[in-house]
Amino acid sequence: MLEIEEKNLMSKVEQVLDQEVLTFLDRITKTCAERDKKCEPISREDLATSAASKILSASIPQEFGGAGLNFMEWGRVLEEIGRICDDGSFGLLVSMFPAVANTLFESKNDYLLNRYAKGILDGSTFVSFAYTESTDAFNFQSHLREDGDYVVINGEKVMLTGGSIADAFMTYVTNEGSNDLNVVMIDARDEGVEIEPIWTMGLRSSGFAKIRMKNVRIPANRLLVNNGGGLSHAQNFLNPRRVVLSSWSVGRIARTINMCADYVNRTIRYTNPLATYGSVQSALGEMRIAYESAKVMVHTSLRLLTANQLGLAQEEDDHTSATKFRCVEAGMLVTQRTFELMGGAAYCHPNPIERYVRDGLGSVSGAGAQDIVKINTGVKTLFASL
Amino acid sequence: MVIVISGALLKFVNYQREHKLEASTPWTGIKELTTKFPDLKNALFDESGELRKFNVVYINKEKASANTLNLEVQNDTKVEIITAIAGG
Repeated sequence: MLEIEEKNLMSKVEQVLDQEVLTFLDRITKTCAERDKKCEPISREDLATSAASKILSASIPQEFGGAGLNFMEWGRVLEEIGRICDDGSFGLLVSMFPAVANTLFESKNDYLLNRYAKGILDGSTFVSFAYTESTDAFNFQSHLREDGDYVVINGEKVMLTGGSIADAFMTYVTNEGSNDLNVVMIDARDEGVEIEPIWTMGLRSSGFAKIRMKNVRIPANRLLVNNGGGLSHAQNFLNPRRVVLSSWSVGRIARTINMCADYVNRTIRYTNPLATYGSVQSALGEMRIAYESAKVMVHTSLRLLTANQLGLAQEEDDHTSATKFRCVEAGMLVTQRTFELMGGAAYCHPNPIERYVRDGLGSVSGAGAQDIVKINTGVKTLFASL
Repeated sequence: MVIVISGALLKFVNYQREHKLEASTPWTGIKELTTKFPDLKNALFDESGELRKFNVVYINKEKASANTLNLEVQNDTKVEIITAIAGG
């Protein structure tokens, strides 16, 4: 990127991350370890502060009251948040909730966007993405039955980011009649909805939850997608998410490397700083190379997303998937090498490195499991020459 | 022509990967396959009979378009279909 472009971009990032926001992020950082220990979600108050400080509305289009940051700008904001703020769950939530809101804004369904999306601007309403079951999308067991002006939903979604915080869920269910995947908005307070928080290895402040839906009867006007386009809708949501989440990851990787470099510079072994040993320098170099390659891929993907130059949004895109894959691998390498260099210090709580490992492993299965990404990319490579 | 099915779609065709068919165009070949395997129809086509957008079709190693799906092809044509989806 040209120097002037980078300067303009960082100027936009700094407009979002002003001094007030930096102070807020510092508080989130300082309270992170305690939340992690208790598996306590980011509070509604802190999310409301995120809304008031315009973090949550940064990527919402201007026509709906947001700052209208494009993918590149929003991605770079998240990258900075990843670098500055110690809480991985914060980055996850402030990227996910606006992404769902944007999907609703794009629907142009006035009833649904007024009911569910506009609340992102003042932090009054948060909607979680309810898709994952213990099976593939062609075998979703959660189903919907049409009943005149109502629909009745039964089923279970096993892992929702922000599920225990959210007011509503953008839920993907199989229509019993057409066998197509529909998308329906279910409120957390609808009769028949049960929310069960999940204790996870990492990202413990993300409010992960399972939801069960037992004869949830709601008005049919809460259907967001009912024409068989549910799976395409999901892919349209998930594909850019792979890059947006990776943006935050790149910042976290930089933070980790900086911590490690600081440690090896000040830690003395056999009268010399660890930093003077060739093996340490080599490990840091390996980490830096992994970071730089992940960063290039993320920035390229963000640029392509911004210019709408990626392929059909409805299919899993090779580029976004490769970017996500590379970022996860880079993150795992960097935390592993940091562990090796920092030794016991890294293993102990409250040193954040052990939490970074736990957080990072969430990306192995989340946002498109690494394995599935490889399989899909491999099959497409068999079918078509590069 | 030979139609090759991969990934999540395999279960709709009894996990048989390759299917030899007599068809003049890839589109008619795919339609014939869904006649033979009715469960495949809903996975491939939406209510209006259009190919669902998350299904990717390749014809002789080239990504297919709405046009090329309806072009007449040779007997030795290979049509490959993958449903490219990944989770959240």
